Amino acid sequence: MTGSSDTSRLREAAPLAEMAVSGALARPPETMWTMFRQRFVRHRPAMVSLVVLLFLVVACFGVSLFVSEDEANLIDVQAMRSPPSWEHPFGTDDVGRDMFLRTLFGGQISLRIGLLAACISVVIGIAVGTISGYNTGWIDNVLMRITDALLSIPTLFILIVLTRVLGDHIGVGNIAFITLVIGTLSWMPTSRIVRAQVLSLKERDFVLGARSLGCQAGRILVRHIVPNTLAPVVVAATLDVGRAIIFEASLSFLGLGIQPPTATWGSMLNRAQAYLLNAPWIALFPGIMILVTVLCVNFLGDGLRDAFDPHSLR
Amino acid sequence: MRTYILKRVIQAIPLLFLISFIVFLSIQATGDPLAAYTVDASLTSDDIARLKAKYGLDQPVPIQYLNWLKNMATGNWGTSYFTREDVVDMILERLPNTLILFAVSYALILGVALILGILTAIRQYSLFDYSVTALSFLGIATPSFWLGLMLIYLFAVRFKAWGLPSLPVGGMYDLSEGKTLAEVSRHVILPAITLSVVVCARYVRYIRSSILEQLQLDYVRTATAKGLRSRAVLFRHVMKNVLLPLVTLVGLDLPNFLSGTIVIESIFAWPGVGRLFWSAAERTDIPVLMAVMLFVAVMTVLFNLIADIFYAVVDPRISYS
Repeated sequence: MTGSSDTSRLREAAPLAEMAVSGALARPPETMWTMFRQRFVRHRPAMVSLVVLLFLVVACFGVSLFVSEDEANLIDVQAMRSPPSWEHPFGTDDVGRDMFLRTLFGGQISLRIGLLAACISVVIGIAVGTISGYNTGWIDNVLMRITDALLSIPTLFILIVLTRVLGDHIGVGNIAFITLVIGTLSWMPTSRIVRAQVLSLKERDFVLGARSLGCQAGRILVRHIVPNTLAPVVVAATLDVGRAIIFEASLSFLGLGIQPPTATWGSMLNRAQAYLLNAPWIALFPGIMILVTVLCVNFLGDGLRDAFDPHSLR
Repeated sequence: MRTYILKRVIQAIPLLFLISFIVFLSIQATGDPLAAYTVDASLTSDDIARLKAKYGLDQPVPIQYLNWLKNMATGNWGTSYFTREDVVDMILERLPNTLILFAVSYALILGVALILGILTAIRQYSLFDYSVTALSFLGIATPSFWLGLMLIYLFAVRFKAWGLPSLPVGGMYDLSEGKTLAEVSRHVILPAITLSVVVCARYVRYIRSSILEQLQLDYVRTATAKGLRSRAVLFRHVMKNVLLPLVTLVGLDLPNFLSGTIVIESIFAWPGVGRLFWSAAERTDIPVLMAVMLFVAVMTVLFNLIADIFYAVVDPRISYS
């Protein structure tokens, strides 16, 4: 009984093997990367967002080739608070500066702070998460309690205290300082994700294999475990970019972030409330830029999540 | 059960110590707390030494921390550098206003999110579903302070210009009308909507996907197979399982909500704890800053503790070990 079914299975398998030689294997093999790319390209909102983001980056940073920042910050009392027109597509602000140019220059700083703060947050998050996940015991306990504690204090409260009071020493509106503070206050979700991943990964056979070959703990972490946690980390990082941009905007809106005349999307909104009645466009455009950027970054994260997920059928 | 509650309470204690330490450190990092005084050139170095001794600033940092902790534990939270008021009184005076804002916002958030979440889930892939999903993506990406400005422009500036009934731009009540229920509810609408939109957008997506996930489970098939109408299946069986995790979600969101109150209360001149913190930050009023930060963090820990315990009480699947 068993013998006959085995031979019949063999007979069925033969044509399949031929097919594999002639057809499937003649194609280049599907690597993880090509499959990832296929799934990502099929996620239409993410692709559109990628294009919009690239366009924004090129526009914001490319404008420096044609206009200097001083020109963008040129005060023109004649053209104070003039509504959007061909000459000033986004209108002018309360001292007659062109809102369009300032929005582009502001984008340079807002985008840079968003990206760099997310990088800082990812690096700290991975470090804390792997150390904590790999060493169970008191190290894990201490690191996770610190994470809990930082998550319990609303971020904007610490941000305001640090930028306000340390700002007096370092200089209010120091871009590097603000980036650093936002980055060091947003790694907690990432570290939790990484820790959960490491806890499960370190029990896998490939880690046992590496260890039995004499691999040291540091090398196992760096070469075998951390690369396998990267997919959810990249998704979390895109969310961090959006959050960092909004944090910077909130701080600058309150007047604690980047100081005038340097423009960021948040600082341009700083005095907008006073002019809502007569010049609402001052409030409109920088806000739309934040909205579009954060929206695109979130869609990008969504697309990456689906592309990383081998079970996704999209 | 009792051991579980006890265990969660005991776990919260080191967390509170750690939080108090972080709050203390973040203020320590800010340097000279007497900077506000030393600007005054008439102060001699003797005066400064006396001030330092008065506030215990001549002691080593760990001792300062322990002293501060002792004062906090005994309810002696200090007085404002500027108004000389007791900090606890200042917080308690503004707390009800923030609670009003919180209650109205969350009533709005949960009401709207539940309706939209249920409708989008039962009409999955309809035009309605797609538009709500698109709107919720927009909502999540909106900076709330900018939304506040736009709402002020629409409902206060434009509506007035169009001769429609407009909403007030700020404050808690008109001085001419006094603090009546009607006045406060008129004033709370705009800040509450502003605070709600981002959170509500996230909740809609959560409720939708969570209902869809539940609908695939066996107990739904059983309920349908025994002849229960789909409405009864949804409200009597599915919603119970969707609503419970929301308690945890609200608890986890509390820090974000409180961060939002700083900016929103400042825009709408709402006299709550967030605005108190912001005006203290503008004046570097350190006792107030420390107290509000600690207060807010302790509230978050307590709220999460209650949410966890509530969840364990209501959901029999949680093991209490």
